[in-house]
Amino acid sequence: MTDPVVSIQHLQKRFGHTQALSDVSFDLYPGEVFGFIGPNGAGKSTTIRILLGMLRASGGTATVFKKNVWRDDVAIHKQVAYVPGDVFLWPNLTGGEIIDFLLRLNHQSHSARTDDLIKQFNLDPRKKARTYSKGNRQKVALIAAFSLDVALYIFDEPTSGLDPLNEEVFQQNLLHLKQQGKTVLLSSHILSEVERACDHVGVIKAGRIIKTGTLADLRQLTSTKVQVQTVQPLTDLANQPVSNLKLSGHDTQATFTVATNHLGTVMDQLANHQIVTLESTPPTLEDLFLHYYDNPGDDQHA
Amino acid sequence: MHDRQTWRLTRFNLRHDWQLIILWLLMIVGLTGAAAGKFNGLYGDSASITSIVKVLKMPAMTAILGRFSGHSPFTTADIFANEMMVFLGLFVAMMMIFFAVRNSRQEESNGELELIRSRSVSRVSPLLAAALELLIIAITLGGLLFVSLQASGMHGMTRQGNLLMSFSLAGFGWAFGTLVLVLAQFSESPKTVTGLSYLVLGISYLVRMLTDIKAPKLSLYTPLGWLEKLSPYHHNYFGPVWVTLGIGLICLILAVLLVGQRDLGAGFINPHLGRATASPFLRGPFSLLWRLTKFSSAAWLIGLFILGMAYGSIFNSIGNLFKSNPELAKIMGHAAVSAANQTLILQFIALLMIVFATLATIPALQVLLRLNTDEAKGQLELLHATATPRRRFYLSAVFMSLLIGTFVLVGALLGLDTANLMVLAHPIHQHDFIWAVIAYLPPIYTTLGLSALLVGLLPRWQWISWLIPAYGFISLYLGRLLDLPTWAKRLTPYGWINEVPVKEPQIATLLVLLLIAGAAFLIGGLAYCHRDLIEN
Ligand SMILES: Nc1ncnc2c1ncn2[C@@H]1O[C@H](COP(=O)(O)OP(=O)(O)OP(=O)(O)O)[C@@H](O)[C@H]1O
Ligand SMILES: [Mg+2]
Repeated sequence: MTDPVVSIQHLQKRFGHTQALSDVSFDLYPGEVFGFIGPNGAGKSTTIRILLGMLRASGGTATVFKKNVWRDDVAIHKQVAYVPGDVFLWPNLTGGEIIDFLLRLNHQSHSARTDDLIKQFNLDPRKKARTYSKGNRQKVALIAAFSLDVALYIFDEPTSGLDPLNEEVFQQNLLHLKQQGKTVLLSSHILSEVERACDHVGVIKAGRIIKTGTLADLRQLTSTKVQVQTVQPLTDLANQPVSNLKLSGHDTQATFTVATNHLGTVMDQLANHQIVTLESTPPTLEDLFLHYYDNPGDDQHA
Repeated sequence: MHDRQTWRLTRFNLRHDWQLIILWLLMIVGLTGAAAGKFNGLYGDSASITSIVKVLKMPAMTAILGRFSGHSPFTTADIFANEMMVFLGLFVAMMMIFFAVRNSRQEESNGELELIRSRSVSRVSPLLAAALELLIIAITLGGLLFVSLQASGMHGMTRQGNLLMSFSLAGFGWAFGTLVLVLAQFSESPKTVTGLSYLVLGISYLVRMLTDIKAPKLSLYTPLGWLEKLSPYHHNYFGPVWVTLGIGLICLILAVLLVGQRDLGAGFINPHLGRATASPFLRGPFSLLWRLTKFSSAAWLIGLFILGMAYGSIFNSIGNLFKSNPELAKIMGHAAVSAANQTLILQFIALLMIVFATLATIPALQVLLRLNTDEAKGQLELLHATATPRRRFYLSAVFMSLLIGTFVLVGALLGLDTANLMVLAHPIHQHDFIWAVIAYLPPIYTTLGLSALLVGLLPRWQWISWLIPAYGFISLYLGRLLDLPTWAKRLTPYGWINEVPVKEPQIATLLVLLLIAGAAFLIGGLAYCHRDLIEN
């Protein structure tokens, strides 16, 4: 198997008395687009800043391209593009100047791709940064990141200030990176964004990774909501692994939820009752997140 | 409704600022109280008073401390008033600039004001709240100064005179603060507003100096001049106090009118469109710093050049024993007088060097501290993720600060020398100026080095760096008049330079200072490269 681009093992970080990270581990393989999700203050930005050598880990190991993130930061950064969650720029410089400057710090230069991105995101590069809105400041960082030709892209809530149009441009460019086989680490609260672009997801909560896997894996652990009408009464459903069961219409109509991994057995059972109508609602990503954000103990039974 | 909100905002601001207010007030009142308390010991008898009056009446002292006024018999309190007034005025104005900018532009550019304005708060309320806070600070200052003066028990002081001293300073401070509130309407950057305010203060100091030397009557038309014309402990003119208050009120009205005319966050000087692509020179942290500080550095350079010229232009008045002490001059004979004149000027230069050296430290220190201040603003986060090593950020800031400190000091001496060549028939030798620069660069570098140490090791405490030039200035500038012990003057690097160019610089001391600076830069750099970057 190929070596991971990013490898994090039992990462810890303490700020004075606050334990920001207590146990973070995950790997990111070449060509993967990894969604990094978790509630506010869970430690996403802290993890990313450790990966970028801005903060020093208090314990555990983290490597990028098999290099130590703290010691070899400069060598790593040559192949990394980064967009922080809050972009702050020098008020006196123009957006165009800042984009070029950032590219040059990475030993690359303004290219046709940069011009193209400026057009796509509809940014006026001649305006001073002090006049930019939050979204426009974010665009400056996004344009600089997407015009870099590197192996790993790290985005920390990159679209929190973008309008839907620009968010779409972001998605397009993200997919473009994916097609080129680039590796991406995307921290986000916007679930549709994660669902669309990411094949792997890691959920972090209170400084601990509580789940990693594909989206399909994650779905397995949540429940599907089912509405069914049958010819024969459904009284024996109560013996099945379902919850929130409600029976009506002389017990021929039922609504219930069932853990997604038990869906098959329950369906077999229902089939014996001659199904008239059946409606099942798969868990939305929101359900998924609420499930993980709310239940800290659920990490073990994967 | 309107004024209730203003009051509410003021309380909110005070809650934010009270520690800083106490710090500033302690500094100013402590300095005044300590000085006043010492004065009976220093200038308690008529012999010492007569001799200090002679010193204070010399043109060099007039230039620096203000014109000596009053009539004999002089008391200790007279000496105090004449020596301290202009100086304290400068300090009070600096405090007011700090708080006025903080509660107007800074709040606005932080975005804090946007939150406040979205509540049912009118456009002028925050401005009035700022003015009210300044007034509260001023009144507190006046009260505390009065109490400390009363407690000092200086010979010859009167309650009336103490009241006048205290509240004229308070009134002056408040008026200056409201002037800053007007200036704050013009530019959207708090840094520019602070710069403009110091420019106004600097110009009024210079104009006062020139008029005091050349045409004392005209000093009446400069803000700092009013502080000299109060005749405390004698005539006790309260008139200028009312004038300053009136001017403060006018400034406040002006600021209110202006704030009603403009958008939130905007100034009257509109930003124009800039370059679409970066200039080829903008390639690394050093060129970035250059790009960010070139205008302010140029302003400092020109400002200190002009300051130097202004001081130099009075060399002929200072080195003129025939005028300032004719009896002595007659006894001495021509050659001796000319030598004595030279010495007087050299002594004046030695005192000026302290002003120039501490002033040159300010822009240099500002650049150095950007390593953390820009970081805290989040502006460096994007840069730290690029393939530019941390040590380059550090080294760039260090070199830029050394360059700025050096050039600004050289600029001041060039100004001084230019005027020297213009006004004196027998100008001071060039090598005296060169030695002055060579002697005062090392303490500037040492101050920067010690600050770099804080930047690396204790980023959250880096503001302490400002105490080095501030204390250096006070201890050396007033040190002689206050008869400070040598060790107290040597607490800052500036105190180790012995009256250059009157005396020869001690090369060994300079080398030690440079060594300390180098070591401090090194340790600070290592610490900076091996610690967490402070994030917001
Ligand atoms: N410099 C710091 N000093 C002290 N505590 C910090 C520091 N930086 C982060 N923390 C704490 O560490 C924890 C993790 O913060 P982090 O910014 O990584 O969260 P996050 O997952 O990115 O949250 P969000 O979704 O809100 O961006 C928080 O509790 C935060 O308060
Ligand atoms: Mg975050």
